[in-house]
Amino acid sequence: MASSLAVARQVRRILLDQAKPCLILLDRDFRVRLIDGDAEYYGYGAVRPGDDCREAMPLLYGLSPMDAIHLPMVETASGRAADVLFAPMGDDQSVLLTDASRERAGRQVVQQQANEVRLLHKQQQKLMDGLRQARDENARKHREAEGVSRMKSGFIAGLSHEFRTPLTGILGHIDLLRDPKHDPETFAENVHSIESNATHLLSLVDNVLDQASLEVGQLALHPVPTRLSGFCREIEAMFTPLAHQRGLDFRLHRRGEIPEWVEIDVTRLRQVVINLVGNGIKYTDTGFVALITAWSKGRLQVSVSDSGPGIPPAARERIFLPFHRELNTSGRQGAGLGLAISAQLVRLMGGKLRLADRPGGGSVFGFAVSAPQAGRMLPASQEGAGHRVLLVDDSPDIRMLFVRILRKAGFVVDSAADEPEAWQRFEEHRPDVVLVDLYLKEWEGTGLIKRLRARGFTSGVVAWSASSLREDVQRAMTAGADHYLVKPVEPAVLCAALNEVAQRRVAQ
Amino acid sequence: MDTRKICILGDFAVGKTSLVARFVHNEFSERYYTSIGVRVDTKVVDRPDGTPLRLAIWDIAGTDTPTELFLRYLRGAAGYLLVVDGTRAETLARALQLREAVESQLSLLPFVGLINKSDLVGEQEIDQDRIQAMRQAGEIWLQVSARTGENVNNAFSLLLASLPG
Repeated sequence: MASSLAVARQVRRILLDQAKPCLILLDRDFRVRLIDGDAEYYGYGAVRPGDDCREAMPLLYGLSPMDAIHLPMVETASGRAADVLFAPMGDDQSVLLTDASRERAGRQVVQQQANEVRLLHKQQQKLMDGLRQARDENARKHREAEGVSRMKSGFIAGLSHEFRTPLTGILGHIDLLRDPKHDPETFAENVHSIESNATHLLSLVDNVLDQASLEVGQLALHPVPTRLSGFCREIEAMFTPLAHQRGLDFRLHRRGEIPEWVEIDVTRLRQVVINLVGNGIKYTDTGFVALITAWSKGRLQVSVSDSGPGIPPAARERIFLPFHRELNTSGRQGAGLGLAISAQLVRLMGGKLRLADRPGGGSVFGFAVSAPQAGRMLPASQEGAGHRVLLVDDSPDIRMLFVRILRKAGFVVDSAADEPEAWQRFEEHRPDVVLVDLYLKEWEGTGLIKRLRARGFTSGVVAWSASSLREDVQRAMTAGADHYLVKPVEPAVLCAALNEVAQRRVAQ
Repeated sequence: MDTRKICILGDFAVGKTSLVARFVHNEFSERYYTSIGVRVDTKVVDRPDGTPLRLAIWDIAGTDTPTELFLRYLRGAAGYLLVVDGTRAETLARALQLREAVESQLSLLPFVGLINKSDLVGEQEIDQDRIQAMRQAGEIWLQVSARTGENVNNAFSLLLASLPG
C-alpha cells in the first residue's frame, strides 16, 4: 500500500515536471488574484496579485472575462509554447497553462520539412515552366533563323546574278575599248556604261557590307553640320532626269520653317532618301514621286510618296526584313536589302521608318530623325592650295589613281607603298597631311599613325579604309588620326577632307 | 489604454511572421521558419485622432484550410490582414477561402489584403485583373514587401482606419 502511494507520488511528480502547470486566477478586470505553479518557466515570474494580467499576457486582449476556450500552442513571454485553457470559476476566470514546447518543437520540424518540400516543388514547377518556355522560344528562334537562312540562301543565289550582270557589262565594254577596230566615237558611251555598271556594283557591295555591319551593331553614325537646302538640291539633281526618263514627275516640297544647317549624318540620310526615292521611281509607272521635308523641335521629318501600285497589307511587315525580295516579283533589279538597311539606319538615327497608304493610291514612306540645328559651316575648299600630301597605300592602282587626282586638284603629292618607304618620303618631304590606308598588307596603318604621333608629327593625318566598322574608326582616331574616310571616296570629298585637316592643323 | 486584437491570416510561407516583425520591430530575416500555433505581439500606434491605441497582433500559423481551431484563434478579433505571396498564385485562392470562412462563420470583419514579396520583381504571379476587380468592389489590396518595408506601416494604418471606433 505504502509502495503504491510512493509510485503514485512519483508519477504525479513526473507529470507535473512534464506538464509544468501554471494556474492564474483573474477577476473580471483581468487583475491577478492568484498565481500558482511554474510561472517563471512561461516568463510570468514577475506577475504579482493585483497586476493587470493582459500586460504580461497580451493574448487576453479580445477575450471576455467569462470566456471558456482552449487555445493550444500559444507562444508565451519566455518564448516557450503553452496550451492555454480559459475556464470561468464562479466570479473569477481561471487560466491554466501547460507546457507544449516539446510538442510544438516536434510539429515545427515536421511542418517545416513539409512546407519546404511544397516550396521546392513549386520552385521546381516554375523552373520546368521556365525551361518549357525557353525551349519553345528556342524553337521559335530556330524557325526564324531557318527562315532568315533560307532568305539569305535565296539572296546569295540572286546576288550572284546581280553581281554578274554589271560585271559582264563592264568586261564587255572594256573588251570593246581594247579592240583595235574600236570606233572612237563610242568611247564616251562605253565609259559611261562602265561607270554606270560599276556604280551599281558598288551600291550592291555597300548594301551587303552595311547589312553585315548593322547585324553586328558596328555601324557608327558621323553627324556633321549639313546644309539641308543643298542636300535637297543634290537629290533633285540626282533623280529628276531618271524620273523624266520614266515619264514621271519628281516633286520636292519643304513644309514650314527649316533651319539652313542641321547636325546629321548626311551620308546615311542620303542613303535612306536615295533608297526610298529610287524605289518610288522604280515601281511607279505613271504619275509622280514626291519628297517632302519638314523640321520641328530638333527633328527632321522626311516622307516619300508615290502614285505607284502601293504595297499589299500582307507584305508590309516582310518588306523591312533583310534579304526579302518581295518587291522584285515584277522582275525589277534590286538586292532585297535597301529597305531593311534604311529601316535600321533610321532607327540608328533615332527614328522609325513607317509605311502608309497614300490617299488616292500609292505608298508613303516616312520617318523623323534627330537633326538639331547647327551653326553654319564654311565648306572646305576642294582646291589643294599647295598642301603637301603623303599618300601611303599598298595598292599600286589606288596610289597611281589618287596621286593623279590630288595633283590635278593642286596638292603636292608623294606616295609610299609601305612603312619603310613612308618614313623615307616623310623625312624628305615633311608633308602637311599624311593619308594612310588603315589595312596595309604586312602591318596596320594605325601602327604608322601611332609612330608618327610618337615622333612628334603634329600635322594632319587622314585615315582611309574600306571598313566602316565602328571599332576601326575608333582605332584610327585613338591612334591619332584627325579624320576617317570610307573607301570608295569621291575625289571632291577626299580633297575637301585633306584641306580641312591641313587648315585645322595650321590654325592650331 | 484602448486595445484591439487583429489577426494575420494566410497560407504557409506567405510572410505573415515577417510582416509582423517588420511592423513591430522593424526587422527582417531571410530565413524561413514555419510558425506553429499562435504568437501575440503588441504595438502602440496613434489613431487618426492622435489618441494612442494598443494593437494585439495575433500571428496565426499558416493554413490553407479554415479549421475549427483556426476560427477559435480569431475569436475577439476586430479585423485582420489577409496575406498572399505575390510569387505564388495559388495563395490568393487559399486566402480567399479563409476570408470566406471568417465571413460565414464569424462575422464581416474589416480586413486589408496584402500581396507580399513585391520586391521579387519578375516573379510575380498574381492575376492583377482579379486584384483590380476586388479593389473596384471596395476592398483594399496593397502590394507590400516585408523585406523592403514597402507599404507595411501603410497596411496597418489602413486596417486601423477601418476598425469600428
